[in-house]
Amino acid sequence: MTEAGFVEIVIDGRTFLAREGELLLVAAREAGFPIPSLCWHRKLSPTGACRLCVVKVEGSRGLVTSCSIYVKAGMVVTAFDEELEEARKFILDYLLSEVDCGTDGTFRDEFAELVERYGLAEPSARRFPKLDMAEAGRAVDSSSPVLTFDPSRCVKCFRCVKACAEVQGKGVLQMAERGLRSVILAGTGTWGASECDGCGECIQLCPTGAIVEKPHRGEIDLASVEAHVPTTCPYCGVGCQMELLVQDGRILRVEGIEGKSPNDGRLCVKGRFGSDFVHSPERLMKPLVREEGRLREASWDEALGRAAEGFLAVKGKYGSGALAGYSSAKCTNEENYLFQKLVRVSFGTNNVDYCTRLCHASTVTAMLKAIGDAAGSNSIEDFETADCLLVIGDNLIETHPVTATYVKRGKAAGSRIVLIDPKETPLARYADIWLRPRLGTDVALLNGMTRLVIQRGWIDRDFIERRVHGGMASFAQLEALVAAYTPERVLGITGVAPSDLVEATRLYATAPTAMIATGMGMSQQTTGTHGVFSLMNLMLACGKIGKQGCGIDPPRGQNNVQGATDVGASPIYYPGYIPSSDAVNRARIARLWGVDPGELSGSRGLTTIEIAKAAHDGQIKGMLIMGENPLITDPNSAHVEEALRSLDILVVQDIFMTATAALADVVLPAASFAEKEGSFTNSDRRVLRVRRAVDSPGEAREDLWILQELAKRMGRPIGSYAGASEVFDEIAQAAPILGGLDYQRLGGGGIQWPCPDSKHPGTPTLFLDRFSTEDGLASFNPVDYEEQSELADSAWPFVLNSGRILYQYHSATMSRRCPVLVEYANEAYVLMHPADAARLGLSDGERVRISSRRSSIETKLRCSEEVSAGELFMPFHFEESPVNRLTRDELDPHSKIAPFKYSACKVERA
Amino acid sequence: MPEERRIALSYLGRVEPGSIDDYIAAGGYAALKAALARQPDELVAELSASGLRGRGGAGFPTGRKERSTAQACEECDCYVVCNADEGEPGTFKDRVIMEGEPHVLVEGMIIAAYAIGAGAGYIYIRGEYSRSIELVGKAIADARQGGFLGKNLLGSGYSFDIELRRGAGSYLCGEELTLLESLEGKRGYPRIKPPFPAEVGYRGTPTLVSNVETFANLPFIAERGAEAYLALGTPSSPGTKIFCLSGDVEKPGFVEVEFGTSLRSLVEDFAGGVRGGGRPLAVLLGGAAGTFVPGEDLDLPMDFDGLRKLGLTLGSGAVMVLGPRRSLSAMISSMMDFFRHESCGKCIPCRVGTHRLARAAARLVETPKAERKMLLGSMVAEARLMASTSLCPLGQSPVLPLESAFARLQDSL
Amino acid sequence: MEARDRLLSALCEVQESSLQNYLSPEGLKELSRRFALSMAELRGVASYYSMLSLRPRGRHIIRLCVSPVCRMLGSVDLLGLIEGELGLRAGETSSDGLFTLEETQCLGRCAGAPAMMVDAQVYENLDIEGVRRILASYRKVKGGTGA
Repeated sequence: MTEAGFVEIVIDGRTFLAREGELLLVAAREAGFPIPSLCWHRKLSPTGACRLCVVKVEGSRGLVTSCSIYVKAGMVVTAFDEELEEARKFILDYLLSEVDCGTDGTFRDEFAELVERYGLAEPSARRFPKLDMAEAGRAVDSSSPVLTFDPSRCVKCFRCVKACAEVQGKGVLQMAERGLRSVILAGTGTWGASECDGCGECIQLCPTGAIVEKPHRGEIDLASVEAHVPTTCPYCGVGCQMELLVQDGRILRVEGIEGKSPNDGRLCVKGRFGSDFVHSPERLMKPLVREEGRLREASWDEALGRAAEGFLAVKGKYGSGALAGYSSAKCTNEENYLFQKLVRVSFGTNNVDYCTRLCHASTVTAMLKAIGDAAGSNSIEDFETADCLLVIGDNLIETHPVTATYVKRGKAAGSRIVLIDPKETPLARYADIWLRPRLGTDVALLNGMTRLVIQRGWIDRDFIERRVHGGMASFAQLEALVAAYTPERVLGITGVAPSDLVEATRLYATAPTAMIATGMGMSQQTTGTHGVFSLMNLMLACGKIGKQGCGIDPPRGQNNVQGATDVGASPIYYPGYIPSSDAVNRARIARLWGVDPGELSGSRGLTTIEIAKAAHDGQIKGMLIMGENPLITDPNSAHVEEALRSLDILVVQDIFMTATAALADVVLPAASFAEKEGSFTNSDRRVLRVRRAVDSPGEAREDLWILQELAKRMGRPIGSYAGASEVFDEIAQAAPILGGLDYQRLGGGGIQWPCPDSKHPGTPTLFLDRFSTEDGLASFNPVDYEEQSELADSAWPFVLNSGRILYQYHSATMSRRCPVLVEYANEAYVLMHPADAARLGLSDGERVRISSRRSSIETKLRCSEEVSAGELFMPFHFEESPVNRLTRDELDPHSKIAPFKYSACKVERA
Repeated sequence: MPEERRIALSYLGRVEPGSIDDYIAAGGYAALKAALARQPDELVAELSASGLRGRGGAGFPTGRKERSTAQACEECDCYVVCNADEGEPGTFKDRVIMEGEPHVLVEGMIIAAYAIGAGAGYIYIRGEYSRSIELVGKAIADARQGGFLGKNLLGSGYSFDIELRRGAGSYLCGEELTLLESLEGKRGYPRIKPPFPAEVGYRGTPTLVSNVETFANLPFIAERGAEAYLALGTPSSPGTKIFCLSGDVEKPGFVEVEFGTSLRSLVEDFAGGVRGGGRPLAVLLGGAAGTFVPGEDLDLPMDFDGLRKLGLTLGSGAVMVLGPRRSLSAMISSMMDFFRHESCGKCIPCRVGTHRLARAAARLVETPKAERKMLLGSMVAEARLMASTSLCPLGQSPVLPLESAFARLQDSL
Repeated sequence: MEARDRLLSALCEVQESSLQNYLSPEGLKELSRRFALSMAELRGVASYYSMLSLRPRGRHIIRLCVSPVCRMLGSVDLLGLIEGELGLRAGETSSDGLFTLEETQCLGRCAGAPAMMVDAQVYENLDIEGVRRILASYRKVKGGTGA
């Protein structure tokens, strides 16, 4: 009897069980036969180029490569005999005549290891003289910011070419020429000028010294490395698992962890080359207090004392409601948990929020209403396996580069992509169809698609009957509302051609499995909630959720946007999405926290922008801000600045002197992600560990410590924890969705919530049985298209869109302190359609002044057809051209999100 | 003197090349009509029974390929691909067919496609064959116009069409799996085999890949039956073969004769013997990937298995004659240069090996006679290791001429 | 985005439309957009095939066969002759931009060896006089058209 899927095979006389269909090379290596290879890699399709893995298989003629045949029952294999070893030695000897080997200690050279193993290390042991490679010889290319390419060390294994094409879906590299002249090519021969975006997958997979990481090359000595610390990337919400290589107390290299979800070793340029900020000399190293208008260094005792006194004074004078806190999507679950605990217990208010209000609040509002949960319903892997992917208002390739690798791999395997975006994003070239509606017209477009779904009979009646509240009766209301959105009318409003509308709708509605990715383009509008409602209506009408491979994921912009709300950093929810108004839960939490239930406020707190407005109006007098920079990231930032200046006490915990920290009365130097233990929760609800790799600089301390100390000094302590692990244990008690998790379980890899008990395996796909609403059913929320309240007119003829680029991140406090990222992109700009520029007599590269009704800023003009005529785009990372001086703080009434994606502007020569 | 027996070239000289009217008037497309009247599986059986073997060089039974392709693609669209990337030195038979009467190729492809149920076909012609590209392109267009290609062809309910694709200069693309890569718009790298094209071919779909001459034999079999075909040639190699006669002969050219015709007859009767008289130094059979026969050993029956038994290759049908005063070393050197030029460089043994062999062969020409034997011997040893470890037929080929020269022609070095 | 399997044809067409018989950077950029392929991917494919060129070439491409049969029957001498006549080495372009000389492997004209092609035209059974005549005829056309 053998285990299902396992068969008996024989290698070199030893009989053992191997997985049927497994690559013979893998099965043999697992069984302890160290068959050599240079070109094979577990993530890549078999190449068969190096020929080192040849074996003999009974019944097959000659030698066969074990990287290209699969285990079959009864297979009899010779992996090692004199002839095979002679053949392998011959191949290595041949390769030595072409290529140099050996390492300088900064990289691993698998070729050199094999040369050693086959007794060829001594030149005298080699049979073949060095070939004259002058003809094929090429110089070392060090033009890339991230790597050097040395063709004289390239064994032509194709791992880099395939890493780029098959793993990352970019296809930037290819072999050029043929025969002995073959050479890896990037662009037209200069790596730095190619389409390479610096993700470094090729570096990670190169087996020799041909492609080696450039940063810190002179400092690294692999033999002196102190630690390889596995942790979670601090940038976007994918939650990539990476390993920090620590030497002399510094992070000198970052590598993706192979075989670990959610990224399987893949990283993007920020993940791999974006950790230098940790060791920036500009890190805050001492607490600062304001004295006579200036910040000066102080002891922790003094600074914490000043902060506590300030808050107590406000509380005493104006009451708890005059205090508020901005928690942080950059901080850990544990820190966010203690932060909201501090605000609720020590401040005595629910005025706690963070930047989620600026990104996905409308998505969250709509999803909660329609399906009862606002987290991504499916795993990131489903982006690869779904038959169709609808991407709307989401520049996935730049904002979530590793999520995008799944999308591109899926596309390569035959799935279809429908892209809806007013701006041409890099995903456009992969899309089967790209709809380009005018800014702010999504509701009309999506209603038009829903109308088509109904008209063409693509609705899933059974799903609607079983899974939607009110069934077909409720659907009738939607049907009646969308009836007015004829293709002609949709064309008039959005500019999208009827034939394209039909094709996009058909691809999504008729695919057996389909996923939606929705981003800031949808959510950051005054009609953001309605946009997502109309998207959900389409999804529910087609029945494309609540089953394997179908659902909606709003990729999260920051590493822990998901986790911060999960653990209660919300004016509306306690940990685990339990409304603050829920008295039973409040009583339970009060017991857990050891406070009197009456001390916990049951009323809804203020949201991010409401807090800023209240501060501006004198309602909020004291604020604690942990790791956020609202002065740059919040809309109508001139207004935010006035608000913050008007506070009695502003305390900021951060790792850098941000624009916001510069206004504070007390600045507390905090630890970066690499200096603390904790956890982040990524976009697909995976709780992932963060681990300490290096010491904090100067006197910087972990936020966990800061929060506990501050609460203590306010006379309202929030507990005393030995470490992050203990905080997490309390979170598990407070938030039922995380109830089954602890650090021991998370040590083995991320687990997706809900995970209510310690036996529960986690939940990759939500809503398979029921939605998270009270009755377990989803709901239609028919909404009409409304015109934007601020429209372009003759005085303000352009509509300005804003967003992110690949190489920078949010207010750039981290990314701009990483030399590699700065080398790629360090300059603000505005994109304008060439026709508009020509009409205004402006030329590419010129300085321009952009003004909105709020303010005006200067930046550089870039002419590009990535934007439609009449529309502009600016990245918001650069504080010298702060785009949020132009944006509005007029909010979506449902979610309180601000319309970062739509501001009427004018442009003039500066 | 044996006579020519023309099947693939049966229309040559009787028709204006590429004229569909001439072709039909001379009996063309009658075989297709006969084929369409039969069930596809019956047709596959007939083609299998004929014993037809692939004319690209390997001599693989065509019927077996067709059967496995047909079986692999019961549920899907499969393809028929014609390999017209004729690049083996000394070989030009496919060009003669395409420039003589391209319709016979088109007709043969349609018959094969109908037999296996293919929906689309491609003819991949090497880029240097500009005249073939022109004539085959016209033949496809005319056949479509005449209702022999396209939807519901000849009212049979069966639909099939052919697209012409041209290569851009690569010998290796004549290897069937490499040809498919090239057809997909990629670099001409050989794919790992298995899977064979009959399982995973063009765009990952089962594909029948056959040579021009092979397709050109199908109309005869479809019309006259397997029996008539088996009556020609030898039991293991039925039918006829086009041989390309070149080098030091009086009348270089091509000839289509029954399999089994002797090499002597090809050289002396059809090629008019050695130019300037005398006995040839050697004859190279099958091109660069072929084998040398000493000039005194010409009484060989030319069929696949007969030659294979002697360690020789029939290959593509190239018969290259070296006159008595030629240098064998120079010939070997030009052959090794050829392999170096055409090696794609994907696998180590071939990339380095073809380069080293070309260098060694150049030395062979210059080296004193006494040392040549030893040098050739070491080349053979290296080529053997190369052959056993290389990825595709190209790296496995240099050993063929080297070994045969070493074994049979040492004294002629 | 166009289907990848049309790429080779498209590369040939772009080359043919170039006055210098090559894949110009602009031409490649256009193909990169049409096929959504990187520059390296396009150049990788182009550099594999010997009939495609990434460097500007002359108006006429002379492809002299140097494979075994033609070489045995004298193509090496002809190569030297053409190099001398045009004042260039194989692989180079004449200074007047009229010719590029390339060595090629078997053209399938072995019964007419030695053979060469000038653009799409094939010339067989070449000898010294024949080659001179052929070169002259292309030069004359040049003079005639005033190019």
